Amino acid sequence: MVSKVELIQKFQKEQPDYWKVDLFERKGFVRKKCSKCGKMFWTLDKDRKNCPDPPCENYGFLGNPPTKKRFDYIESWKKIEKFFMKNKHTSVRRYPVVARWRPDLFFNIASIIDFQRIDNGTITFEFPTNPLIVPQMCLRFNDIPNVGVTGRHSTAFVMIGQHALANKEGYWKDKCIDLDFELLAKVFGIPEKEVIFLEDAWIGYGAFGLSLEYFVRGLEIGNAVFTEFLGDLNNYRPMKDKVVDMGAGLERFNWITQGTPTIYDCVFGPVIEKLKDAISVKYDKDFFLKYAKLAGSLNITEVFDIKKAKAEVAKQLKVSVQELEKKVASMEALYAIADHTKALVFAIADGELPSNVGGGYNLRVILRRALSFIDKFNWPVKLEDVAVWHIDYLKKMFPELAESKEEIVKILQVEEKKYKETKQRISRIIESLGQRILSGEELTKLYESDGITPEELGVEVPGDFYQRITEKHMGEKVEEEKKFSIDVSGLPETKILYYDEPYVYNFKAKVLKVSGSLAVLTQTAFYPASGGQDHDTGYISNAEVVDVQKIGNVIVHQIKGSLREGEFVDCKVNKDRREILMKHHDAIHIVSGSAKKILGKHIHQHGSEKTVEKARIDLTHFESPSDEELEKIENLANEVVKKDLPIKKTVMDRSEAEKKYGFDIYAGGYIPSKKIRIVDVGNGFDVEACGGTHENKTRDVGWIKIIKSKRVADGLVRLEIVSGEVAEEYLKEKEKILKEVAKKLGVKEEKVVSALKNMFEKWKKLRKEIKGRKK
Amino acid sequence: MEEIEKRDKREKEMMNFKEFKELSEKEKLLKKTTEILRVEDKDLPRVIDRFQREIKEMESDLKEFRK
Repeated sequence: MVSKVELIQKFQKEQPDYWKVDLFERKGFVRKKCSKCGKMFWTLDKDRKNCPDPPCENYGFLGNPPTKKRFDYIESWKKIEKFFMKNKHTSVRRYPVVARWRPDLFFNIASIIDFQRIDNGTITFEFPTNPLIVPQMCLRFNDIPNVGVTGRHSTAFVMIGQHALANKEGYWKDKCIDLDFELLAKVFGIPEKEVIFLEDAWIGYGAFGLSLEYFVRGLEIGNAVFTEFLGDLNNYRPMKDKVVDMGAGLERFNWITQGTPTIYDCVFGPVIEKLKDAISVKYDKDFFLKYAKLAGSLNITEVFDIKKAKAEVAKQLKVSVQELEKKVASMEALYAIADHTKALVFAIADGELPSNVGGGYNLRVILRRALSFIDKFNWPVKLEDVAVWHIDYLKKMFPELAESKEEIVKILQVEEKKYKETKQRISRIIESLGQRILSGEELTKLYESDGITPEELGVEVPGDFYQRITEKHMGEKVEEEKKFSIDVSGLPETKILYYDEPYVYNFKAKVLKVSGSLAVLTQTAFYPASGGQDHDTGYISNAEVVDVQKIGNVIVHQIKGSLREGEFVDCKVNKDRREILMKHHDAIHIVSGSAKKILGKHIHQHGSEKTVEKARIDLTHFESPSDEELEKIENLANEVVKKDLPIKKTVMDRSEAEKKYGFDIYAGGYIPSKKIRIVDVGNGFDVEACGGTHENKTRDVGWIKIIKSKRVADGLVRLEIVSGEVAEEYLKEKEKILKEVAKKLGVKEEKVVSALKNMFEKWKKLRKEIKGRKK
Repeated sequence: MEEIEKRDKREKEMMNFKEFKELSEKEKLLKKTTEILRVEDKDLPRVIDRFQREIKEMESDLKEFRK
């Protein structure tokens, strides 16, 4: 297995000029080898011995920035945007922080993620315009314990993405570095000799390239990656269209011009000052500056032991660890609160909730970390206020945040309430446990139902705890993806009839292959189980079709009976079953759209199932919906039905669909295909990429009834739904029971509740009297 | 043509909205009754029978006590 270091060494040996760009030649940069770490770098300073990467160089800008002008966070972005637009780049709006178009990621972690799509394990790059610039908010949760502590780690940051294809509209290495150097030197006024480039490489998902990282006074500002190979380090091929993937930290641009003790002091606008005012924190600025210089340049993430690192810092500052803690702990907490709240603002605005499901778990961790700091210091601070301060400041750059303000506040309030309840519950659990040790199963149950982790209970985490949880969910997924055992290689793609003619149930076909109870036809109207929709049944000649699955592009029918390869057959799909499944599938779309409108934009599908008995949909929501809310959802859904609106199915380019409808089209899951089928219910009421069968008009779905609502996990609500004839039968059945109940109680139907209450009260009274007499 | 026929058939067969709402109200009533005794709705008639029988039995027992 080749490592990144080996790749760099290989290129340095075979193509030593690989990193050499026009700028270096023109300006007289010299290539040097770091005397400490051995890395190669480019500098205008002929006497320089070390590379700029800490710990080879300490931060030299704290309290002493290299620029004459100080730029505010948003101002920094405006400068950068103006510069690149002047240089023929299109400024693209940020993509969501919730990476719904990437099956391998919960959150957006880099600007290039916006433009990467994965099709059956292969990465493709799809740029809406070339070249472009994007202020991409990214969320990363791999350094949470360091946020607030090191002075530079964040969970939320803007990666300025400068992206271009190496063709006639775009550019390659030379122009990229020319632009980046000009931005630093001319726009931000950083002295040219302060800019140092380090030879590096970047390995992403399915693609990689060599890179030039650029530093100023020990601070890495950006990394220009020249992505030109597809595959991994052991097996790669050159890309047809090479990609410039330059990612720079907006926060870093801001920080280098401000030279504040920590990055947190300058990137949150007025938020830090507002927090300081609210909690009257004591802040020894001079001491903090000295501390920050050490804390920032010590690579705490790599030493793994923050206590040990802090002891080292305390020693250098000539104070005890306790004194150091006392002086800096409250500021560290304050910074972490500001950072974590910012991450939560973006995540919630983009539709993810703190929960114990998927990426929501990371959000809950930072939420609870922030709340625990507030608790620890007993500060009169509310996270929702901090969120509002962030929104009010950032709306100049990200106006969409203001639209979600109320929702964000509500969700943070609910989460704080849950946090307090969980803390009380944890105390009770610990008290009730005594000496008893919880089993792995009990711990899993607590985690899934209440989001309580073994760590929060203060018990040892069983070695396989998180593995068990992951496997449990993986198991569910594997079951959904069950496949028939048949070799379909060499068979042509099955012609699909159920999309173009969803109401055709009788068709003719030729039997292409029979293997045991499995049969493949030339064409089929039998819908295979997929996207949560149950498969069709029916007959192929006299053989009963009991299951249908899709393997690649071939549809396989499981039959009871016999068929001969090569024979022509009459086929019949079970019409009643298919129509119910279609109606239930449509009902899921309508209820999903309705729930979003009633409960908020944060509502997203986490899974769904459509059977003949009922449909179910799991929605992300922070609390169980009330009866009134459920009624509103149902009423709105039935309004859509009543209006008889169109259900349009269109096959379109993925990029076009994403541009037109946004990433909510992946509500039902990501579709790994360049062409996707968009189902638009009710002229935009609900729009999803979906491969299911659907009616043509909403009235065809029939009335929709939500029959059950239950919380299946923390942050996840399951609605069970019936529609059309199934809904009617369901209601008639309920009416029958109500009639029987009324008859037994001897009252009219509308009086059953009071009559039953009276009966029950009478029963309890009599029982009490009898018991009393018996004594 | 086929589409129009399908529509007509659908309108003829589909329950009207007023009826749907009335039945929904009845379903809501039934739900409330199940909450009183905390039983499944299908079990409700049987459970009511049991309660009524027990009430009768207890009333008769009390009569005996009072004698």
